[in-house]
Amino acid sequence: MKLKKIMAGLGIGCFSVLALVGLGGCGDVSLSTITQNFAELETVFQDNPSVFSHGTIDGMESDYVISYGTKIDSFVDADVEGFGELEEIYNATLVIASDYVDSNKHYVTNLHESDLSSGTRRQLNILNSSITTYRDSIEDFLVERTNFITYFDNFETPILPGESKPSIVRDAYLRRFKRSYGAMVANSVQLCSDMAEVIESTEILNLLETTSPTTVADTEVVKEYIRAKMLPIFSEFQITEIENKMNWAGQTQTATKTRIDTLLQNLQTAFESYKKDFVTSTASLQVLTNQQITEVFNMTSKFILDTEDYMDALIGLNIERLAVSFDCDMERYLNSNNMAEIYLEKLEQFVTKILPNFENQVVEMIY
Amino acid sequence: MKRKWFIVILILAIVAVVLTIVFINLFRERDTRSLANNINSVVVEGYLNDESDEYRTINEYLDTIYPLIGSQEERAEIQNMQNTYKAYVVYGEFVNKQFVFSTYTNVYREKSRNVSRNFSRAQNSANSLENYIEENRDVTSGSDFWTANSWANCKQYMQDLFTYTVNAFDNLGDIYTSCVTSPTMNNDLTALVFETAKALADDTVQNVTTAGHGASLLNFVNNYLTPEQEDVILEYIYNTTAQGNVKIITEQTEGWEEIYNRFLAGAIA
Repeated sequence: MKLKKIMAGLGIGCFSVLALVGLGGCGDVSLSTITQNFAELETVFQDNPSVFSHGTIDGMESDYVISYGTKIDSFVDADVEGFGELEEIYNATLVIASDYVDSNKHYVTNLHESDLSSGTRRQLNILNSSITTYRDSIEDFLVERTNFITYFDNFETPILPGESKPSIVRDAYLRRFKRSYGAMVANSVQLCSDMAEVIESTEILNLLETTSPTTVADTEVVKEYIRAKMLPIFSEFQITEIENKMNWAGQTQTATKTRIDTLLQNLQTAFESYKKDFVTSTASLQVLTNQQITEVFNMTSKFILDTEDYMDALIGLNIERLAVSFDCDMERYLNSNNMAEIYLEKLEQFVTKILPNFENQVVEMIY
Repeated sequence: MKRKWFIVILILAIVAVVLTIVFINLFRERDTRSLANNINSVVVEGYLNDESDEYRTINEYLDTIYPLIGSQEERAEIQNMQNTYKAYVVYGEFVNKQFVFSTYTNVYREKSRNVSRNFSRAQNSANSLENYIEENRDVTSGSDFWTANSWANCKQYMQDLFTYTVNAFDNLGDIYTSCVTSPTMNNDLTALVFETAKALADDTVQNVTTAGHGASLLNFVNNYLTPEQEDVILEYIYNTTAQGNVKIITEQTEGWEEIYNRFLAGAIA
């Protein structure tokens, strides 16, 4: 009897494991669910017209210009420390990411469900998850924005650019607001990247390499794809690793901090160049041959591999730990992270050489 | 009866532990961290760092002893080994900057232990040589007599350092080409550079008592692997002329010798 019970238990256990494994492939998200989630995302924007309005950021026209109300508008100025980047970097990044998502969601949600490959289904699952994560972070942002504006409406007096009147409370509210803003921007960039992955998985990009004749519209698709793939380079460093994790400006000024400051300035210069070349450029696109399109995609594939090393270097360097636990002292930090110098050099190499080399080559080909 | 059950359970437990260890080793994610750390320690803190005590002491000693050695062949040997050492300092720094960004491959599995072993032996030789020089220089107050006659005792350490280092890098070039993930820093040009460095090093080993071979290796490495020359490799993937020349050299098609000679001199495009 005991033996029968043991055998029965083992049998049920094996069956359960097999069932779980078998069912593991089920549960792919449907296109209608993704459509629904995109609609709900759109509703969030439409329900908050005082937050997301139509306007221009850095020469880019968009429906995602963040507004703060009259009082804070007087603070959101490049000359007031801590505020300048809200428009230059945060909002600009959000606008670029949102533009790509909006441009391509119609294509994605109108794919034929029965024709989807397993790769595309996998990417769609990821995309769906990104939509909901992004929507949640917008909700958080809306709350923090309200708190931020309320503080200024009730407690803060206007501070003119150039006046130094430190306000610990104001800075605390600003940092908290920027973190929720940064999280929202990071999620928008993630959504943009995941959208690009879905596009890639549908092999529409392969069609551009093989079908003739090609048109300027095809070059536009290529340009937008590259633009989407490049965007995380800027947001991951400036926003996710620096702004979202610490008060970088308040860290101990050492030779290493100066080096990273220079790197951030170079990154910002690269971001300006990226916007000029891939977002606001009015130069005419060329009609590329299939061979040229293949060449551009090959270059891009290689560049993406280099970008992965760049991201690994960002994570490996762990600037937050370097700054907070080691006061930006690289010599001490090396005892704890023996590859830190290598990671920092890789970041410098990527931002100052690899990134501009790639961008120049692409620009030369597509315009 | 109880004892019988105890033995059965014990055997089952041992089998379970063994199977667990086997499955963990089969499915664990393999990486190149071990060799990356090894290279880093040798290049940043060890004998391949040009600011290390070993490097400075050994090179100062070799510079001092070179003019005091009577035999032309011995002088050539000293110079070849010294230049090879300097060349591998540059080569090591280049590899160290990239190797942390690499993936595990069969070539890594086959050759990494060999590299680590040779680095370890070379490091020991460097330490022994440095210690010998320091101790005996102190004892004899660094007299010319001691210096001239010390080479007989130092030679074996230097030869070991030279041999083990050459062996390490002969394999390291293959591992780099197989494992490093960046297409910008790992491509047909870098593969050709490593192969050529290997050929020049082998040439130096075969002709160690003939002057000039170590210098050829050092000049070549300085043409491609120093930080100042970084742009040559960084821009290669966009330079179709350089890519064409690399192809001509590797396939040895017509006219390859002339292009190869220009390549040796640092002009690939």
